[in-house]
Amino acid sequence: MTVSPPRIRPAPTSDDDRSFAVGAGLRDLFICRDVGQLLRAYATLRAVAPGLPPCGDPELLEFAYNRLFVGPKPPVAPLYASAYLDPERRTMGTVTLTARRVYRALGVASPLEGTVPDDHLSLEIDALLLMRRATEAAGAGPSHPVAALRRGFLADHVLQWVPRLWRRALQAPAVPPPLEATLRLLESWLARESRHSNEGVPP
Amino acid sequence: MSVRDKPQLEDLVATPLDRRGFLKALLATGAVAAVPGGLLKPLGAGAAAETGATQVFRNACPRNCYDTCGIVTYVRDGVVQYIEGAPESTFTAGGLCVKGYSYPSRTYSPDRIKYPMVQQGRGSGNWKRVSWDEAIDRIARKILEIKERDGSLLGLALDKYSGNFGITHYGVEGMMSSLGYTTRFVGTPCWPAGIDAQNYDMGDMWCNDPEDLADSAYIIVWGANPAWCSVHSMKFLYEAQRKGAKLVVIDPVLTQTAAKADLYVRVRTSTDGALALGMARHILDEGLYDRGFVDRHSVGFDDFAAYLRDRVTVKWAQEQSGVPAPVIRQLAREFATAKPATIWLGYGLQRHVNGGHTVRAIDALVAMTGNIGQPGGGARYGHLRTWGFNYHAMVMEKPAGSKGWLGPAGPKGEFDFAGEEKAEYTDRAVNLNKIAQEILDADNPPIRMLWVACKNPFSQDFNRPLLEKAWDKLEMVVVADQFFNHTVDQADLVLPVTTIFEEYTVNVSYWHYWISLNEQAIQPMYECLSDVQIGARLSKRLNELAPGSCTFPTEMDTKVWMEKEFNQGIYDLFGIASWEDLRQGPAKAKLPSPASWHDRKFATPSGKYEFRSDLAADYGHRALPEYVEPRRASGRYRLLTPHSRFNIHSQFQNLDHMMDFSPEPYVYVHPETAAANGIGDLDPVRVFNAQGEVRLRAKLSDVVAPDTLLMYEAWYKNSEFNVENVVDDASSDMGAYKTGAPGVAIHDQWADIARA
Repeated sequence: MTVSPPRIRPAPTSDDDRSFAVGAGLRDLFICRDVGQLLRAYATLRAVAPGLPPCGDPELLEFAYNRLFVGPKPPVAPLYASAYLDPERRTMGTVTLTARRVYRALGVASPLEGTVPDDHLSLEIDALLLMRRATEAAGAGPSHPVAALRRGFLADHVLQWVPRLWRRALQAPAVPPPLEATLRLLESWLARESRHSNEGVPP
Repeated sequence: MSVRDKPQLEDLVATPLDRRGFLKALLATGAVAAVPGGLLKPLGAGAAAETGATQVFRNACPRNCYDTCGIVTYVRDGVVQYIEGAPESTFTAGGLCVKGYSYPSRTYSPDRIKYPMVQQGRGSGNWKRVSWDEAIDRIARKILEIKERDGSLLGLALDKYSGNFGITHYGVEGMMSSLGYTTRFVGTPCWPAGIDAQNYDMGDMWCNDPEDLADSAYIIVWGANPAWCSVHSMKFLYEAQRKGAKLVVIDPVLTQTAAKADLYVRVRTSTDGALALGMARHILDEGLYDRGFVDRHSVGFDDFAAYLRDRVTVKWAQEQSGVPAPVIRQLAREFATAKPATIWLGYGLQRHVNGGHTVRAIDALVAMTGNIGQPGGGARYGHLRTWGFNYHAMVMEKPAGSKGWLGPAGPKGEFDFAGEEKAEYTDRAVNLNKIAQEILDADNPPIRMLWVACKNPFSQDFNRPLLEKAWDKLEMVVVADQFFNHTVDQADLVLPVTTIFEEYTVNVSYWHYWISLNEQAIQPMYECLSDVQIGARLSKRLNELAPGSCTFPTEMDTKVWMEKEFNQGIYDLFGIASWEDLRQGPAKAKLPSPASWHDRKFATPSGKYEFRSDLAADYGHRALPEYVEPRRASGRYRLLTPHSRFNIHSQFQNLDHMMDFSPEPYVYVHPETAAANGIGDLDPVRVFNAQGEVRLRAKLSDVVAPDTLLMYEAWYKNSEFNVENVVDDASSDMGAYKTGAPGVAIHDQWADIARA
């Protein structure tokens, strides 16, 4: 089972649209399977986040990406929530299955279920994008179940581990500027998503 | 709802939102499609609901371990939830060891090798992910290039051993055979000297059922540490003790097994043969040997007795072994008079330049006291009596027109014909225990490409500095493995392989007599494939590029290939109608007696136990079980590198689960030795010799003798620690007869130590 390569999309017209596009770009970048996909994903992301630097040497980018996130050495910053939240650092346990249950609650599932842990960063970003689109399409307020699910998934799950991912990655030696900038973009995007998800919620 | 009242995530997912119709409506209006390039897909009408129902599967530990445990695996919604030992096996008895229990952690570790990858520059850490098609294409083209260049595939070598003893994994050898004649690293580092010794003495290596240890009256565990390396055997030792048996441990190290013994005897390393012969001399002098056995079931005893009288005294044995004479006499008397009595010969015992002769001396002790062929008795080393599978995956035809090595004497010419007879080609066999030197020496053609499976030469093989030099000669190195290790670090391509829950195979032990099915319990994670599935893909690509170049099947279902391994012999031996019976649990071989050699019909040339073995003499050894001097010391301290309880060689210790228990390696140093070298507990030190060095911290302990340093061999995650930096590849005395090459004198090493 493979996932489709990302495509260059029309430029977003509003801040919300731009934020959504950044999320989609981040999602696609962290699930690349080869250097071709990685370069296309980075170009797509850069189109909606112009502050990102040029990609530079593609091979250096690829080597660093694999060293940080893929392998074959134990990744510096694995892309699975359970690598950070499970007491035994074991995927496919309660942490992974929490993500699976969130997806099922939304009526969706990972196409890689059973072979790639459901708590992969890209799958979790995709779920956040879906929940955002769903609440927007329905004009749902902060008390709507999907809005609450989005808020809970962010606060109790995604934001519990992704900061540890980017801290580990950013502290690694020789992280090329494009990846460093992408990680910082991920940080700021999640912060914006968190603020957005809490809009209208009484303190 | 305020932030203070916010529900927990667990509560939020408890009720699927789609039941409220909201998401269904959204999905119907294309909200999911409104997420461009979305990964998550709608749950279809046919999507499997989470049932919560638990499925039970049977698995087996395929590691190189005495215990080869049967495992019961509990799976829910496609995920292994937990495992336990198979309760049906009276050997596994429902429990696993600390390594076995970590199997789910192993399968689900985020550190697993997940995808085929190519390294740009060995050791550089610069890896590219590639598809299986691309990886296999690169490998196939290199194989065809070698064939074109050399006219044969002798330039392709296989380095494989015991990393996975699932029977279908012999398909890796089959894959090689299906390509043509190749170079094979043959031999075994584990136990070859002892195998040869037992073959000279009895005609085969064949041990009692270990469960009958419980019926022994006197047990000597000699150079083995089952409390760490065969935990399931311990209950039989305890049962024997409960019934009044005496447990004696003879070992240079005060092991955990020794701590459980009634008597611990520290022997000077590699002088065990002298101790055994000293005991034999005393038994002879006291007339305590079993005349009936000796007269009816052996040959050469008079010669052996003459040797003992002429060359061995208890005093001499004391001087050689460091064991006091009164203790030698006590051991001898007790062993000879307890009925039945048994000796468990460990594998470390024979990892010496005189290891085979040591085993022969200990075998002789058991034989002369009439304990061979007795339940509860025996000279226990191992067996292969339950390994009679078809080896279907291993036995493959060579492609038509394949050319190879011409006979054991080597090629006499490029295509040699002996007279009018066509010379028979073979694979080129080289010594697995001297991999570095063999790679350097191989010529006509050289070894150009190495396939490594079920092995980790950079962590486990000897003389690592020489191996690094040899590696430079190789044009392509392919490694199939589950986790990154020192060998993967030096590979050009790495291929991710399956764990026990992700494939079908079948397993038996070289110690107990049970067979265990290994079922595929879950989908393989990421893009992992079984060794034999890799072979199938390679065959398909090779035949696309060069039709007829590979005879290995191009489609591979591991279940089908597991089924093909069974035959009527296996069914009869285990009393099963079909392999499917093993879904109910492991089965035990139907043994006429728990004792090996129970009928006293030995497989030697004489049909008897051979104290004097002409076959041994034919192979250049002493005909009698005489004492052979140990290797001369080449440093201040003897260096021992035995096995830890937390790993099987370079497997398991790297897991986070295990790193919690055992976070770093140590060198164990006697307090006197430490004081003499100005070393305090936990000081950083160097252990070094002419070959290399290891840097780690020291732990002071009197479990080791003052003249000994001890480091447990293991591979720690993200660590350079490697005992092979200071272990050379000196050969043991025996091994060539039955295993193709001598063993390695792993414990005949010397080193020095200093504060770092």
